[in-house]
Amino acid sequence: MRDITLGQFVAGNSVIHKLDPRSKIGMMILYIVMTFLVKRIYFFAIPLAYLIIELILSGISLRYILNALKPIRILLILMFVLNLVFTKGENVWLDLGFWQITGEAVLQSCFMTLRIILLVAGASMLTLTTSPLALTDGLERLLSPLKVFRFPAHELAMMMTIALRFIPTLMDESDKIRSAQMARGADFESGNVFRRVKSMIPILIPLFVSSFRKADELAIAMESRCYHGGEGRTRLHQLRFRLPDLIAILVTLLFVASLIVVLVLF
Amino acid sequence: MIQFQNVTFHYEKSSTPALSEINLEIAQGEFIAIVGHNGSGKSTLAKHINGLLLPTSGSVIVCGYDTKNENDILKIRQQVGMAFQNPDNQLVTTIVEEDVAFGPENLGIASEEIRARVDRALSSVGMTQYAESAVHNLSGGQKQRIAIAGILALRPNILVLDEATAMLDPSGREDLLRTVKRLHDDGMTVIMVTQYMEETVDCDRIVVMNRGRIVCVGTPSEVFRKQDILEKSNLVAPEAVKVRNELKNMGFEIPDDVLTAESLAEAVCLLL
Repeated sequence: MRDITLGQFVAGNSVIHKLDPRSKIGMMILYIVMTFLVKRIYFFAIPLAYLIIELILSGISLRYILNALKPIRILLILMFVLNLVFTKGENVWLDLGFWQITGEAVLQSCFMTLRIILLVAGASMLTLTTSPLALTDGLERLLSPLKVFRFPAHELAMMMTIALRFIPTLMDESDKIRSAQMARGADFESGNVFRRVKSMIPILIPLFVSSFRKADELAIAMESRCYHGGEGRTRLHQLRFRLPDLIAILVTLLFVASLIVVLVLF
Repeated sequence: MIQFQNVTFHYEKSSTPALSEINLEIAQGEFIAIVGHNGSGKSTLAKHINGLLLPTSGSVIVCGYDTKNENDILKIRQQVGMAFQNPDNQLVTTIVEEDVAFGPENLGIASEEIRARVDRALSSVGMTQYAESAVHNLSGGQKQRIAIAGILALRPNILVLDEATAMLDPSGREDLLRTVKRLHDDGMTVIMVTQYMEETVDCDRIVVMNRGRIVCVGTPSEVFRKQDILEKSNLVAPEAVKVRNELKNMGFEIPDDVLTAESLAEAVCLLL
């Protein structure tokens, strides 16, 4: 939990790791579009192939992808069962009298489940190979054209940066408050769910108050260090769009194009 | 370099002034300690130096710029680096080198130049090997040194430490003081706000504050001699100075520049 600031990020030195976060975000969007374009189950082969190539290039073990899928396993099962029950079809495979399992339903269930699996796996490829800080940077740059419409791209990125910075600090703080309240006789372990949730209040309120104080002090420190908004700011790590980025984007576009061709032909 | 001209400051909703009629001049390269107990106005005074607070009346001139002039505030803040009490609440980003780069980034400096400044700043606080660490894994003293590095990256002429040692353990405090002293030796003007008289023995001048007023200014040996003023301001001279004064009262001859335990021991040895 302590290293939550790194999220799922697995440090590495692969081609994928070194790509500009902006290209990775773009690639992920294209990938998502691909999974939604697919109309028949065997066309999933194209995004799947793309994912496998990315996985091999990044050197990330399959275990991490499976870990990312773990939290949604209930959703996947539910999805499968619901589609199995509610999809109408003619081709009956199994007749239980009150309920018929049709070939179409099985196909539809597999189709929907596979789509979700591919979506989550693809999205986690982005967070596995990109540190949250790089991701924040990339988002800021990608969203900065929206500044024309007064969209606060820099402010949003700065907020994310500060949030990531303070998560461990606030966790330490909440541990301390928890100990302090326990020393005063607070009981966090017994009782039913409602009671236990209610017993969190003596932790949350001091945490809230101290967060405000921290925010105030941080603002003063930032001002002292010449912070005056995003205007005219430069960065230590300049994002650079290089040849590998161009190649990666072109390859992704190639996959999208081939999928579209396949969809049109068949 | 820094001039307080008849500065009075009221916090909103407060009837008594936090600072009244402050006149103080600080020269280039000086090492000044501002001491006082809680609520004496010492931090308020410090926050006037880089325009975080603006005087209600009177003016503060830093390097020729008036802090009241909004257009000059960035120039002033570039000249005056300020470190605060809680090391956790002044670091902005997760990674050490990115935090040190925060100041120069705000000034819009080219990234190669930022790189050079970051490396330089980290090496001058002795934290180069932590450049890529996460700040939350560092100790309090290390965090405070990173905060100082972040300030140095702005290339200031004046360093203000607003009770920067208050939350550190003894070794962290010693570390920080050593770093600050070295910076002063390299020509930095240092203004240190503190409650600990022990930290002030190496200063050029001590400014004693009480209830928003400067009650006494002088070299450490001058100030420590004025027991009555220190007592009235709820301050105590360092242990060694107290022992020295007692010995003097008993009739032993000990010079006035004896301020630390080591020099006291030497002086006593000479008497024996």
